[in-house]
Amino acid sequence: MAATELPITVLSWTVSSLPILALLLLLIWRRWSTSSAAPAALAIGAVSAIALFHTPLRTMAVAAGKGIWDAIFILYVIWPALILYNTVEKARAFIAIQQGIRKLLPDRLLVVLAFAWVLSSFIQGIAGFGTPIAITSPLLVGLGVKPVYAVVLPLIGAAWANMYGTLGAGWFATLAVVDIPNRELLFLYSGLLIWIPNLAGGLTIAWMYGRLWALKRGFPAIAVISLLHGGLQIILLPFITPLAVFFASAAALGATFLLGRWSFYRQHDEDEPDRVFTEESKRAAREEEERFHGGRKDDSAGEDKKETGLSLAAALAPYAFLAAISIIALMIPFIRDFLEQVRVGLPFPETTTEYGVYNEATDAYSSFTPLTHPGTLLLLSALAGYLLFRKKKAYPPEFTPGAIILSASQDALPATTAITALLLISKVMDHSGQIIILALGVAHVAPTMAYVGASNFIGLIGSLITSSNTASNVLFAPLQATAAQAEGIQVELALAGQFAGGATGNAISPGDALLGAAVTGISERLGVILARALPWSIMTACIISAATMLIYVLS
Amino acid sequence: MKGLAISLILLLASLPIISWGFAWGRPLVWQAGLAIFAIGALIPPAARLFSKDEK
Repeated sequence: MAATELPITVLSWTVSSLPILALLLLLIWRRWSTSSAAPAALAIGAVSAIALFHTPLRTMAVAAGKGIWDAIFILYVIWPALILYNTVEKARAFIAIQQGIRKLLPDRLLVVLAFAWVLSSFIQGIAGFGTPIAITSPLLVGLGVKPVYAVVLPLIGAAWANMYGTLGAGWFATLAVVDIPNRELLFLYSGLLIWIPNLAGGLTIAWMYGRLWALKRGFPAIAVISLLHGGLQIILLPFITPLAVFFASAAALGATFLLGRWSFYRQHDEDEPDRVFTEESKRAAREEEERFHGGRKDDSAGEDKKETGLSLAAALAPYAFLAAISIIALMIPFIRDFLEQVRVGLPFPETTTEYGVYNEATDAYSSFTPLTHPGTLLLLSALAGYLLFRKKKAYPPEFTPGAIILSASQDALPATTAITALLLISKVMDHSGQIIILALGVAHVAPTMAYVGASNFIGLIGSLITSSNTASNVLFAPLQATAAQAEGIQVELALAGQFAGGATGNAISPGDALLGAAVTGISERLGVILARALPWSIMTACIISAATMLIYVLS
Repeated sequence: MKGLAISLILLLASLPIISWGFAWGRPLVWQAGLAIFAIGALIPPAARLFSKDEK
């Protein structure tokens, strides 16, 4: 995309930021629902695109079509994720999961870290489009975590894994748009900078769980897990870039279960806070502690099965099935290549604006491979789960699959319009050049050292607006490389800042946050979720800025 | 919910209309699609502004 005549002024920068500012203000301050706030912000973006950035109606129509197509991608994760959640929930399988997990990992802080940080990162290593949030948020709700925390914690926990996760999809997309002189240096710089949101993620999850108590209790586990995540990623990136996050996360997952067997994480503490749990789950935990300390032999498997009709293994079966078919479909090259032969993509013509913002014509925009899309894998897992639970008589006698679909629809509908509007904001801003102005504005006014520190904020803004780390890199990596060369900065350092900022920005991307809100039934509370995640993103981005400037000074 | 459902239907319907309009080279068709899209997108905030019940 070439943009040679865009006016980079205070006015154009301010106007370009209006859609996002309006969205955040309406969500956080005025507490509008997302389904109302997002279209309002879209209207502001559209009016400024036409009136101030001279975007023809033809370009607006193409942006609208592309935005809706992009939304369908994401909606095909949300609806199947909700169907899977309702399939499991209606069978009361979450009760079995809650009780079973409590025995494997008695320490509840470790359980929250395991799901919100370790498991979500593992899933991010394989699949994108918000799949980590779509799977772990409902599981956390099923474990008794309050819905807002069930969304915020994995948003923060999985953010670091965004850049090199999804089997390297973001990395390959970035390679297609920018030349990298020294890849090993980029891997080192980006590995170090991305380690910051990783460690900050683990520490923040513990902080939200129970402040200083949880930081002290969780520190050994957080240190081990972060060493595996960040250290293995740096070691593996030069050799197996697409699988570095997957293997690092898998190692951390194994370590987490081993940590659960350590006596340190099997001790009861009367002072343990329970900020993140619902009243119902706190009551259940107290009753279990009383049973344990009352000396009753806990016939765990028998009692649990009697209450829910399901063992832990059966309750987790749909997720195990999901993991298995994901690995088969996505990680075995000849199977993936075979399945990806089925592709669907719409043609769109080239577009331009009076300022020279140009987008090429395409025969198949953002082509969709239904057989490897996470939505299809989620639907198949829901079907497998339904058949298993029906065989085990986990559903009431009069129960029909229609009840699952109806329940899922009621949760999905408010989020559907909102997601569509959010992605349309991104496309309108992209096709009118407003995103370019936001990035170039920062680069133009900042002196060299300030630009070094600001490079990750450019990536963060891109992720925030597009709800995609990959899109942020595709948009801004070329700009960052060009600006770095002009400023005499190593391209690898500027790109590393872009990557780390893009990953951090994913924690506050309205699209992912809304996806999590939708699958936990709190679509109307997006503002609360963003308000909780925003301080983390800003604090982490500031630390990344400081680290980037330190690397610049030392290199 | 009814308003959201109508908004969603209009947004989704606008996609093929816009796409066909460009594919067939018919400006009136894609312009109609853009108009349908605009109406669909404005329903939720309009309902919010004129509703006294929504918090």
